[in-house]
Amino acid sequence: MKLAAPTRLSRADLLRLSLVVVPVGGLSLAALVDALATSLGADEVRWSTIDLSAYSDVVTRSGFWESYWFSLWIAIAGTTIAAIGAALLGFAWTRRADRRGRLTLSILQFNLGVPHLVWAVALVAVLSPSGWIARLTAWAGLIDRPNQFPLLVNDRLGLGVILHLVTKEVPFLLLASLPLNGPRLRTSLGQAATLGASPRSQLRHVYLPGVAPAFVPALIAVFAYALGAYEPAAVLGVQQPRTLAVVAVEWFRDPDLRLRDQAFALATILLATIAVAGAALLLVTRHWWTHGSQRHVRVAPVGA
Amino acid sequence: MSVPQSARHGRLVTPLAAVLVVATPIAILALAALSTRWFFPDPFPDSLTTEHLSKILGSSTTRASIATGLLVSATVTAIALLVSWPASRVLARPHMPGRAVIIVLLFLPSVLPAVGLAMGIDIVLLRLDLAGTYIGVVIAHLVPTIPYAVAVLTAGFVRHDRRLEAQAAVLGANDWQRLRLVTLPALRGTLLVAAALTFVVSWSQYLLTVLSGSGRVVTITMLLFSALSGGNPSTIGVLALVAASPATILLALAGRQTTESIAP
Repeated sequence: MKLAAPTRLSRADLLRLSLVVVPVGGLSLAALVDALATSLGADEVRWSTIDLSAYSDVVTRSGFWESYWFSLWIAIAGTTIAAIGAALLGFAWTRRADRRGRLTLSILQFNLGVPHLVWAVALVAVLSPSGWIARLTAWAGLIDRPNQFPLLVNDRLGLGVILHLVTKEVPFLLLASLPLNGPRLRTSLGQAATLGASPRSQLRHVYLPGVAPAFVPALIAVFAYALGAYEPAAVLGVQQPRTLAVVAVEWFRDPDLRLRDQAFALATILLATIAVAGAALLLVTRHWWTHGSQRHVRVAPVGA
Repeated sequence: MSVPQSARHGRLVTPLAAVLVVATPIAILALAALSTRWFFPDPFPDSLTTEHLSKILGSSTTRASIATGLLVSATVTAIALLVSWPASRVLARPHMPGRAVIIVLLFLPSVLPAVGLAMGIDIVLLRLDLAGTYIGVVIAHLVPTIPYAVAVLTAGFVRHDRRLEAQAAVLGANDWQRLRLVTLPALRGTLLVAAALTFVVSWSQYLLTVLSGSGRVVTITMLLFSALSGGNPSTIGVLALVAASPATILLALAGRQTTESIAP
């Protein structure tokens, strides 16, 4: 047995890696190609018969743009609030590094394991007009009837779906970005504080660049989930407008095969939106990627 | 120096807030599951009963869906761990060429729209004549689960001291003995976390199971979704609790280690 790890991959190593890459990457790519092909009207993958009618049918349908902007609003609001929440909580816990943060993180982990569908149902039980909070409000004498309670789920602003995303994704973002970086970041934050950096500049110039390599990809995944997930929007959303993800699933399960092509066109439009948002996010955070490590050392004394 | 009482109380604010946010909705579901008549505006049901709970848990539909879910998720966990173990060992090497490409490919399903991915996988399974079968559902579930298993195991292998295995080899241990007596015990915690996460992610799937199983492979999340339109709060409560239970039990088991070993 060799102690030093080899720097080149042997044939056996490639086989070991292919065991995970083929089912995950291979199947995802195959699904992607199939989705594209179907949306372009090709039942088999024959690119010679490219037909954009599914796309033109979809975007000219009444209600498409309303659904699109509704989906995008939910995804942007959910991702932004989750990102701010996770960044601030992570920063606070990394600075203090006490058992309280660890304990809270463990509690939040439970929520990560609860299925999205169950969490959506649970939020309805708490937040709906006849839900638990409304009952407490009525019990306290503030309202008499359920319809006097503000609409927090199945509402036209998508508040219920956004709340679902925030409560589920803040723990995910914390778990994805904190554990690996924790100890190193704590030291850097301590050094920055000693050199007089304010909490604000510690967050901006030390914490965020430090977690960015894990935080930003996780954020793209959160946006992708927020835009393309079925369960939260199906349970907590409204009938009008429905999110594109909900419409896509409905059309996909329709016996009319033309609707199936259009469902894949919707999925492709969602994918293109994720690609644009992901690229924008990478662009906005690029200085953290490129100068992150230098900033650690350089900025602390001036950033007070 | 003693800490003032108020400061000590203040320290518990964040964990308590977290408990409130996480546990309240689940507790309300539990109350709904344990009550038959809980009307507005009562903040709590008048009486609790296990009548509904035992009725729904005793029904053959619920039992069959639990058995199906256990079978699917246990198979998915076993396969995901078996294929991820050797791959993670390679990925954990300090100078692994092409690591970025592998990570991008494993990250791919997380950035695709979930509905598009589920629909696309269904079409692939239809072509392979596996849609609507257990095997089809298991294959579909491998896509979202393997990345978790690889992430946890790779982080474990990065921390793992390979010199222990070298010492065992010098002392004459063969491959199997090194795995059984050195590597597996050293990575037991990591393996447990990877298994828990994989099982929970598989068990929690709804849309992917509905589409890849063509409605023929019925799991508990599907029963819950159907119950939503029926609207009986007790039934919904019981099914939701059953759907959440493995997640909670497994993550409680692995809870302490997850914080340290999960890696993006």
